[in-house]
Amino acid sequence: MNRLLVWKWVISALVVLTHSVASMAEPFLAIETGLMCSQCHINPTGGGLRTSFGALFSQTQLPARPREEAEFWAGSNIGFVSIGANGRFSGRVVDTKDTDDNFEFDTDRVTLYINADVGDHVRLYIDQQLAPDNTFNREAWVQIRNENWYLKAGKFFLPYGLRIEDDNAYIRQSTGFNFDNADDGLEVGFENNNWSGQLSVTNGTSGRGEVDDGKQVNLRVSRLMAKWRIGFSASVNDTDAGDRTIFGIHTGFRIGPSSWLFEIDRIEDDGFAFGDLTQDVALLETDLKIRPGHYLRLTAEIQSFDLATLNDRFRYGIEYKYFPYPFTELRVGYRKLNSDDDIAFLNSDEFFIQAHVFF
Amino acid sequence: MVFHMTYWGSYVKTKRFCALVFLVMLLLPKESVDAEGNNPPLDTSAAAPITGLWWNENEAGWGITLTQQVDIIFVTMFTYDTNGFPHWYFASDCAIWGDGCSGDLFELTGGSPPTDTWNPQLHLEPVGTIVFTFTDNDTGSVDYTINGLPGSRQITRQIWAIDEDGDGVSTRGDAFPNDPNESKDSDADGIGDNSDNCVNTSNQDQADSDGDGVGDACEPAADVDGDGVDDDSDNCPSVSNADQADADSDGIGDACEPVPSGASFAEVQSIFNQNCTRCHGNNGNLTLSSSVSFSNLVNVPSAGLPTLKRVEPGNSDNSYIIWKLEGRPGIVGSRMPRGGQLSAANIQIIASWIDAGALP
Repeated sequence: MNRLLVWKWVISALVVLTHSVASMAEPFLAIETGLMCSQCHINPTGGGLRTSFGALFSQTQLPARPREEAEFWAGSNIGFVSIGANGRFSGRVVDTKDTDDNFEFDTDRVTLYINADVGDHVRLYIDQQLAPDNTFNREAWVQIRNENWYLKAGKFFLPYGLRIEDDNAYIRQSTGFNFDNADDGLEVGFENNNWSGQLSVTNGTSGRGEVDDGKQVNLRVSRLMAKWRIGFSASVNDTDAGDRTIFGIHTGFRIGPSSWLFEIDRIEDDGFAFGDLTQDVALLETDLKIRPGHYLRLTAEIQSFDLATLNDRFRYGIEYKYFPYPFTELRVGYRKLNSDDDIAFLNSDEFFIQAHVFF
Repeated sequence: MVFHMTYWGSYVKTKRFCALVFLVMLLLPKESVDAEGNNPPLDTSAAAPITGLWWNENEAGWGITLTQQVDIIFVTMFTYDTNGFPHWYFASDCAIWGDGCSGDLFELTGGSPPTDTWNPQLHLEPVGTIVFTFTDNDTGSVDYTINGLPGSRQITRQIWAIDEDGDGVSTRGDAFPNDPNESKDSDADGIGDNSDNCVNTSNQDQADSDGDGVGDACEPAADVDGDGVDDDSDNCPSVSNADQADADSDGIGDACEPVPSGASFAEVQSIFNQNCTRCHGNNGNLTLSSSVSFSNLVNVPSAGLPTLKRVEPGNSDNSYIIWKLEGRPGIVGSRMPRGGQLSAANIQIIASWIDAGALP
């Protein structure tokens, strides 16, 4: 039995033992493996710095060409400090009606993660964006935890729905719960083999200074099983400008080689001077594992409004994801936006290729 | 044939009779003369047609004033004695009979000047008689004896004012002597006051753009904004500003001081290029690259609060991009730009571009 097989066995054993496995950057991997976010990520709600388990998974389970060296890299750990990073670099063409096509190379995002486990129950975590443009802090929090419970304080991404990578998906863009928006406050979390829940109270200002007396309260509860999961999320944000209430369900399940994700949310804006609005947003995603390291993703999204002046919007995507080597992802995809609204970017086409390196 | 001659004789007789009748008709007195050749009797009703100043138009310098009340005429005669000294005689009871009147004529002396206290030593002296015969209301004759000497004159009503158009205003003072409906033109614009839409303001064209019957030239001063200051002198005619505050003394009230001319979109795009496009490049969300930024912003509902447009031309306060740049309560997601804020000056440039209409 070579070392690779040993590690595969070890990982499989961990899966069996914990009944939960980490997701990588995207929850479809959690559905595929049946693991919890915290298995692969320091952050219990997913994303960011990977655990040693996540590092091993990225070298052995995910790529088309798994690492075959004698020893696997188990993350960059210096004493009780671990470091990680993410970098996404893309080329993109957006075909918008009546405008010239615009092909552009982008440094989408480069982030640096630092985690310090100060003893067995205290953790300090920092997520700093380095590029593009200005460097700024995305997350900085301290966590006190025991076996199932934790208390998080600081600036963090709010718990809500599926933490998918695509910040522009309607369910993430319209709700505002994405990797661009963290907030300051407290979060209480609970996890065991089959349940995961988080309750947070934050300023409701997306990390800006508090500007009013209102607070934002988020709740996410998920039932996690080996082949499926389902959860409920809700959020209330009370601001001087108006109140926003969001609630919805998210689910995921596995059918053969495909993983399916679905989320639907209702967004209610109330009390704003320029009018109330109710939106419904939904995402359906399937990720078909063609063979190790090769995935085909299809997505369909809808956004609808209760306002006659705003027509339904649709967003479709097809994407090929390729993990050729450990810690490396290549993506090529096409997205189409469609709406009866005569607005150019709502009826545009996007082609992209992306290189993603992470550790 | 006999019959014929008889007929002819009758015809000749008839012709002569008709000629006679015609001659008689010519000799008949006119309407002003009655069947007996007399002038028509004077009207003794309250109309008093004889009242007036009478004279002989060939003898300017003397005259007679007749004042009729019912059937009595008060006669005052201004004339002279043989030495050329003025005298006035009167007949206070010239009783009307037929087409004239007659009465005793007196002279009154011994009065005192009107510039002194009235302290008369009056002496009434009968001087003779006077008889008027009127042909009509404007002509007649007067016969009299004064101090035993007889006299007679033809007299006519003295006319010093006529009214050709019968509008009650003498021709001499009538601005429109031939127009019975007009007599005055206060503003001398050629339009009679009765039909002039600006009586006291010359406006020959009579322009009345609002059709309210009042000419434009004299339309009462408007106060569109209802601030109590007439538009003509209001430094903000369309914006209520009763205090007329004008801090910069440029003649334009503070309340309607024009917004500084809007920045150009090129200036705005320059701000985007320096501060935004590194993240809002071609990322499929909000692309602010120069080729698409305008169409991605102007009149496009925002993703965070779709009831607000990213840029609503003319209204920066309701433009979501300003909300995001200023970090207002209620925005979804972070204040932009991430990792640093735009200077107030740059935000103002973007706002001014929006307020000026957000032109490309």
